[in-house]
Amino acid sequence: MELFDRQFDEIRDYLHQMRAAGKTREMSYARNIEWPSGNNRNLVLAGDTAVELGNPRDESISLLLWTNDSDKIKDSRITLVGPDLQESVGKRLPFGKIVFIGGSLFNADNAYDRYRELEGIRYDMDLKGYMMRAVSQYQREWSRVSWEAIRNGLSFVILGSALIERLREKQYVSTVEVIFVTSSPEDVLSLKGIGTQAAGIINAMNKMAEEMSFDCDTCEYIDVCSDVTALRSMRDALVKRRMTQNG
Amino acid sequence: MANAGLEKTKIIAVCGKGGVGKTSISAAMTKILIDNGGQKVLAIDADPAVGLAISLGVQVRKSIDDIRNDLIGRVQKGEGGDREEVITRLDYEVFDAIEEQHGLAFLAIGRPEKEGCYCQVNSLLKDIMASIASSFDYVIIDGEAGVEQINRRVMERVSHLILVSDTSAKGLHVAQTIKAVSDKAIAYQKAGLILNRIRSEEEKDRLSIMPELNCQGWIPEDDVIRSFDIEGRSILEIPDCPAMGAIRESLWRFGLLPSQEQKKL
Repeated sequence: MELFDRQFDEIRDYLHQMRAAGKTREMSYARNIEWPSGNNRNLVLAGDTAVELGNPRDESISLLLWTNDSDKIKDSRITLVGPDLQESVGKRLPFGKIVFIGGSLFNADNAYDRYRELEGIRYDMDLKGYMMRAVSQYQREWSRVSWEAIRNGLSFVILGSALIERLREKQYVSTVEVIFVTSSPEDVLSLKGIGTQAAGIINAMNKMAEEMSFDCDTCEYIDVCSDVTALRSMRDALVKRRMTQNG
Repeated sequence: MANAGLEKTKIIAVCGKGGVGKTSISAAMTKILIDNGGQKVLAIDADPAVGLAISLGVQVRKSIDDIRNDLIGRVQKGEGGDREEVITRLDYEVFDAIEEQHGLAFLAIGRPEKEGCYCQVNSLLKDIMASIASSFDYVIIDGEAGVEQINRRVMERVSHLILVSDTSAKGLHVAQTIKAVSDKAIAYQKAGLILNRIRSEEEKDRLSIMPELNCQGWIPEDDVIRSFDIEGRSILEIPDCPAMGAIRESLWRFGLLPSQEQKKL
């Protein structure tokens, strides 16, 4: 069993429900999109904003999950639940973004560092007219799209494709799938439970990587590790490595 | 932290003795720069009394001090996270604290930082504010009396230092002190004095102003600006009046605004 097996399955179930409700659109990664860079001055103020996603006062969730099993990923698929940017002009929408990554050899030794690296890429999108603010601890992502970007045709296919392209620059990333949710606060909220589970796993992983103590009896993540076999394997590998290091 | 664009940003600090009209001048400059069109303007209220917020008709929800205290509280509870996590969270929180209306972006500092305490948090906040400032064309900082902040290097990235004084000897003396301290602490492009609440040209001519203060203009006593101040109305709604004309002229002298002739070209 891998770290996020349950979350992958629950998100697939969620997408199945959304599809049944006629809310989804499935698109493919568009190769070689040429969207100009904002030269890291991507400030979009309220007056310049055509579409706002995941404002701090609205629902928002942003998740990144990975697996060694590339079959779990529909590579290059961009799924949109709800309206696209061009259909949302003048609106402030709730926002969900889920990134599935299939890679090779994610293991106890590299999972933490790779996660940090992929998180960095996820939040480092320099597209003219697109401003993003995000906090991984809150699992929130807030973005604004300028009027100019809308006039020039910015869409979720472009956003998703730019992200897929950046993530694929990493050699260990073989497949990427992106899901955007803009349909309603309730549809974004439905993903919060999955987000909380994923956050528990990531926090447990972070704690293992950062702390020298492996005293499970006093650890707040004992339930999470009991539930996820891969975390226990990760812990065992780290304990073994530290014992070897300490002679 | 990406501050690459900061050299393109004009960071204007308005300093002077308390009560000389710094806040009204900061608000008026903000309005003029916004009205100039197409420019992104961030006004920073560095006065704990949030006078600039009132002058610009902004309701402050959250200040930099609130963000700092929240983070310090989390760190004390062991919930701080690593440096990268703290940076992204502060960036998000600071951006959320920006109030936006009528083409204006506004940020309140709240109470000043405590020297020596949590200097890493303060240092990160400075970096993030510099990073956010770099996305704007103009940043106007309305300070407290001024000297303290310059000493704390809060305004070390200022490009234009505008000293404000009334006709009082005390006001001019404070301006001189600020200038002397800033000359050592800030690598600004231009510094100069604006005289405020001048009753006539003769009154201005009678003043003996040290040449190093580099006087860049004078603003007449004006009932329109005074009534807006007394009634607590937003300067963003002020009609054109002699004081606004004089402030516009001063901005032009500081090189912060193109003259009418340059605009036509």
